[in-house]
Amino acid sequence: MNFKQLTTERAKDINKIRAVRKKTGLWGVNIKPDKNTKIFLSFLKIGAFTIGGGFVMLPLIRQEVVDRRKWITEEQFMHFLTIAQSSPGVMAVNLSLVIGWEINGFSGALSGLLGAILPSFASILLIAIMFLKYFETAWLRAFFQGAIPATSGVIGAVVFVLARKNLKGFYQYAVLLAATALLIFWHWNPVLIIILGMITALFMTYRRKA
Amino acid sequence: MIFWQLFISFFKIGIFSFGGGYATIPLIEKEIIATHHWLTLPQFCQVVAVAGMTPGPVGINCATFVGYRIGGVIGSTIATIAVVLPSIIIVSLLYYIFKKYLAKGEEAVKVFFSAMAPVVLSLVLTAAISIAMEGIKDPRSIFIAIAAFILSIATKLNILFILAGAGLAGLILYL
Repeated sequence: MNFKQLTTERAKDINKIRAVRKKTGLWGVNIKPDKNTKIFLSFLKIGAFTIGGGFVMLPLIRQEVVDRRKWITEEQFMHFLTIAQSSPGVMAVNLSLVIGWEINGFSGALSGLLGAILPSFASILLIAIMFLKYFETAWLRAFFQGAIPATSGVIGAVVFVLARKNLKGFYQYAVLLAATALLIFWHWNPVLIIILGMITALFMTYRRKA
Repeated sequence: MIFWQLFISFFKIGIFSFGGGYATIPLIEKEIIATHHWLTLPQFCQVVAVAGMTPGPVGINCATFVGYRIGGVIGSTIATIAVVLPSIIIVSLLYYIFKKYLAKGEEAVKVFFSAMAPVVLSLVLTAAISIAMEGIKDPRSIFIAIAAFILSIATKLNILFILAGAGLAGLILYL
């Protein structure tokens, strides 16, 4: 085989590769992600970049699934938050599961779950194996000293947004403030608050029906 | 044998922990320290501190970390699966019930959830207030909290940027 033949062979190969890439996207994988991948990546992103647990993830999840992706409505988000809070276990995991269910059935739920827990799992293993010694540094402490107050600000903001959309009338705001006071000042168990709320809600539902 | 105990322990934690995040820690403490003596109290405190400072839900972080301490990578995998398994079962069940009743009568479901809304929001508000009580120590941090609150209500800015910006502000203000 001479040089010319070799280059035409090579050109043919390149054209073949190009044709495949046109069909399947760069790197030979389909670039357009399907719904489960999108759910997974959304929760992965939120899980990877939020520090401080489920309630910090809450405003980000709301922004992602309601405002940006428009997968569910504000009202649905409130329903799912209620379900997530009423189930035992890790709140952010529950929320990712129920939102995933709504978007794409059981596979969607598993995608959301994996996205929510994978960053956690990976980062803890990494830290546990390697970085534990270097964890307490002045830089990190200063960063958190700034980020933690902001966390309370954005969680407060998500309460504000959800309350504006979902609470009606003086009575509901009164219940919100009373329940918060019971939790903060009298250290009531959250389970008790939820169960009392459920009993009241069931009572109201049946009275409305009658 | 230790893996089975680990699985049962974290499965129990998954079932009986309500309220999310730090509310689950006393329960983990009871299982890990009092019942099984897998960690000492100072070790456990380190676990909680690291869990709060790494990405993701605190409950998952704790499970992974404790699992790793006890049984390496396999232990951490088992603990993490065990702690989310009850969630998968119970949330799926509740979602199924929710859908069933939603199909039966949308009005009644709406009344129920509307009545639950203030209670659910009170838990979130409580989280915001307890983080504020812990994290706000001087006028600078009050300013950061209020700025984050206003920015996330008034603008469409990605909340990740708000939190990262606050962290950078912390580097400038506190270092």
